[in-house]
Amino acid sequence: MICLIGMKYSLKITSDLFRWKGFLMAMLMAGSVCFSSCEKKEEVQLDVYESLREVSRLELSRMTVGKVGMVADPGWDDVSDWEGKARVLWNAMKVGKRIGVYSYDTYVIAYVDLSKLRPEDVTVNREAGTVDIVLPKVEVEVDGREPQLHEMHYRVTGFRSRIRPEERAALKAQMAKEVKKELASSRQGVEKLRKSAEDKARAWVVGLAENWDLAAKVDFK
Amino acid sequence: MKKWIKIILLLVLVAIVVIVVVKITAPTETPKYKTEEARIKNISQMVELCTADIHEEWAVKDSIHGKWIVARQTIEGRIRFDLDSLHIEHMGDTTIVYLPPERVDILEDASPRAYEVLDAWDGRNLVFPRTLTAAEENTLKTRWQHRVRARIYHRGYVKDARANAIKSLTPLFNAMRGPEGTDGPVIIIDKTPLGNPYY
Repeated sequence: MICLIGMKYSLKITSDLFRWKGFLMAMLMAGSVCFSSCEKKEEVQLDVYESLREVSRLELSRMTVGKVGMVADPGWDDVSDWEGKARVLWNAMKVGKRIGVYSYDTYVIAYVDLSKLRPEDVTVNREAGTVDIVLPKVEVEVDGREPQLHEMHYRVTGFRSRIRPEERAALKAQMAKEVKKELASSRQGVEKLRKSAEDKARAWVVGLAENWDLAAKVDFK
Repeated sequence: MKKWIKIILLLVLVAIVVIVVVKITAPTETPKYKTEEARIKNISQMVELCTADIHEEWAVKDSIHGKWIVARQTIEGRIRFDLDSLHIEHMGDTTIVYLPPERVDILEDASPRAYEVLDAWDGRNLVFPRTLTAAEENTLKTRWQHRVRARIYHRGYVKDARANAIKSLTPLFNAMRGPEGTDGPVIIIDKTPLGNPYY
């Protein structure tokens, strides 16, 4: 009898356990589905962020700036001191002309340093199929200048001495100094370059996101 | 008659002496450097990956047509990859991406003192020395650019830049979809890991 009662209880406990087990299983399954989808969402977000960040320096636009300079005799009004005026007079007595016109190009580059991208700058919405990316600010820097100096005009006549490489180097140094100043003050040109770089970056990231099945919205800091 | 010849000879001699004295005692040319305002020539768009930045200052002694120059030059070198011209192939569900050839840009630093001529002379004619022309100087500078480029390859900077480019681009391409929209494998191939100096 005791045995029978025991069996009955054990059966009841077993059936209860099965019922709870089923409930727990369902809960676990639901939890795992939610967990995996959340993980996947984060994974995608992390993938987009990591893959962009790894690119680092992405150059998007280049501006060529031309500068023209001239080696010539100074005029009377170009000098203020007596020594200079004496030289002007001395040059005037010389037989012949001495003029050289030169030019060279300076290259300015606009780029985005993607290593500055932070995780919060990338927001992926898988359900909507969108990604919002806030790219770092487009940076502008002088890439360098052409080593060669192009001779556009050269006229040394009479007894005048030829234009020496030291003079050309001095002219180039003065031109470089002025280019630096002019670029710093030329907001319009730099903004044009920056805008061009932003457009290119936007188009590139949108194309990239399309390949990941995402519609990208790109902004800049 | 003889008297006139003597006078003419004397005048020629005086003229020669005057020219020589003027040539010797005359101060060197004091030119004025006039410049025009810098102008924007063009703005172009591209997508380029820059994986190496080389800044170098060097002194160089070189000659052309017997004319010598000693100069100091500051160089800005950059190794770039054009991502707009990537060659991508699909084989089944596999995507193959070929790393493009590198572009090694050798420019002069934009600072005013990036190029300085320390000495220039004519090695052939000591009496009536010739001056190095702008065209000759440009030929020398092009030669120096080639030398710097060769040194960049020799030092392995291009090899490192290509390896860096693959490292940077791998996560980007791994996320790419295959031709049928599947997440197939992506292989990045570098046909010339040491770079191609003759490209």
